Amino acid sequence: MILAAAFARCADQYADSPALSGPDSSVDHRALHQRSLRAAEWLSGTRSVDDRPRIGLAARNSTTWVTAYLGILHAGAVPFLVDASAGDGELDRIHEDCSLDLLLHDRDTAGDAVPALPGLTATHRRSAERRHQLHPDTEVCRFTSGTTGRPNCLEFSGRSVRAAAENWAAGTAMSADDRILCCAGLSNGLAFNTSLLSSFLVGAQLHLSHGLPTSGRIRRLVAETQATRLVAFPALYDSFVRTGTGRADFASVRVAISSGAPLRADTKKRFTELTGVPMGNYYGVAEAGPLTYSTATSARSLGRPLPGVDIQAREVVDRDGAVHVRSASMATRYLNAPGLLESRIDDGGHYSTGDRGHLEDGELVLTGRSNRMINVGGRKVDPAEVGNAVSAVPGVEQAVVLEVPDRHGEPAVAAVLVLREGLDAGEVRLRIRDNLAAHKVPTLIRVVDAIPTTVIGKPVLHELRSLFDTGTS
Amino acid sequence: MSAGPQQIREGVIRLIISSHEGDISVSDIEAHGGVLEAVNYTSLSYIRLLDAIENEFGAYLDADEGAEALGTVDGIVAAVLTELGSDAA
Repeated sequence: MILAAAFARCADQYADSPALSGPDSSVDHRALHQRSLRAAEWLSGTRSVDDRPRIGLAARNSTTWVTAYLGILHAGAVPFLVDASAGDGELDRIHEDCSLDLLLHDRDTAGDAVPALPGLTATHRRSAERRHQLHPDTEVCRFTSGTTGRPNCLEFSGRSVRAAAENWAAGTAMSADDRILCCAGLSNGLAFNTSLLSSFLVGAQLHLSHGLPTSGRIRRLVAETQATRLVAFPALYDSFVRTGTGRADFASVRVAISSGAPLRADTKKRFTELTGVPMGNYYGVAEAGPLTYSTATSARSLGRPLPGVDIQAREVVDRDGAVHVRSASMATRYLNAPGLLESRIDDGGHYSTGDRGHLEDGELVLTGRSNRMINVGGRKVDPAEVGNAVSAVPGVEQAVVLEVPDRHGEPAVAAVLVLREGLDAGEVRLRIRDNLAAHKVPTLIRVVDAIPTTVIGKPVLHELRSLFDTGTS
Repeated sequence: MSAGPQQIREGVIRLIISSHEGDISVSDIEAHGGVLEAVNYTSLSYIRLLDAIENEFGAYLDADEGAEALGTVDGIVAAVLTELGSDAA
């Protein structure tokens, strides 16, 4: 078990140094290790049909989250890291696909839930049999939005997770002097790859934030933690720019890292003007981990490849091509979609990202995406998954889910619906809220008499998009 | 002269509308009893709203403390008034 051993070595090496703080507590490396071993004892009792229990973890950032994650690893079980905002319907689909034995969570529930760790509850799921077998090397599973109408479960080997952390730490010159303030959920690739194991490996301090990352809140946390690195989605940096953050608020910060969604060029420029802090752009994909990083690049560049990463632009037309990547931190496969990931990786080990772009003086510039995901504030939303949930509402006769820019110019999830008489858009929203995370629920809905289609029956997307230009409800 | 409760209420509603992704109106908000989740207020909308409230009224509201109260127009207005102190209230 590579990851359990790596964390245990960190506990030996850094012992009494501060490791972690969150909204619930602060803890040093030795104490965290002891807590995680106690959690492992409790988790070892998880009943499972094979010798590797599958334990879901769906909770907001806290030291308890990290204790539970380490406990699962030390128990020889496999953690399945789920977005804390996942709806109950999404959790049911994950359970169905991945055959979870236990779910640790921080939501209100009734029934057979039992207290597991401070702030976390365990709900036994108990699978009679495994729908899909785990790869023998798999130590961690995480989820992408998928392209099949349901989340894809990525299997990662311990070697791959460790390589992502090592290469990130080396490629970004992370050191024991760093205090990292992480404002993204730990189940998300941005936080998982840039903050969790990497900070432990070098003996840095990790500070966790949860809840809405508004500029006012994070300014106070920076002052409290004297953070040297800030890790967040672009929405936070937009927020800092809107509220006019000053240099004094960021005196301790050496770099601000943004990822998950494109960072606006004017936000990047303005943030640095206001705070004096350089912004580190980072490009990564769920299937391959962190890929590039730089603080010294132009607004549109995402930087140079990290150690162990190879990036190629193929089938080039007018300078831009399909971006293919190979890294030491690749996922092994999708547990619940056998063969799909393998079909996107060529014989040379390069994964087709779905992005388009080119390398300019060795730095990656992205110019577009060739797949259909909607990026809502750094979270990818699959229109097919939303369309399935909307179509399942009784009275919805037709539904098309698409991306349109909202009034602030940001990508938004929109839906055009044909409804049975008596049903309205508000009712549809209410019905799907239980089955989808909040960021997947369409914010813009238009109701029409019929969906315009081409001669072969496909929706005419430009006509549907134009419905959102007029302000017509 | 500082703003009174009614002016703050009108200002908060204006900011709620301008921070939303879509095209909601005062009557949409009223029809749902002032509950923002019911008009599909997303986390990005909330971030914009809390920024706008801090900019306009100088009131910092922490969404993690009293998150439930900040889910309604009445709750947000009350929180702003509390932050501003007794002058406004």
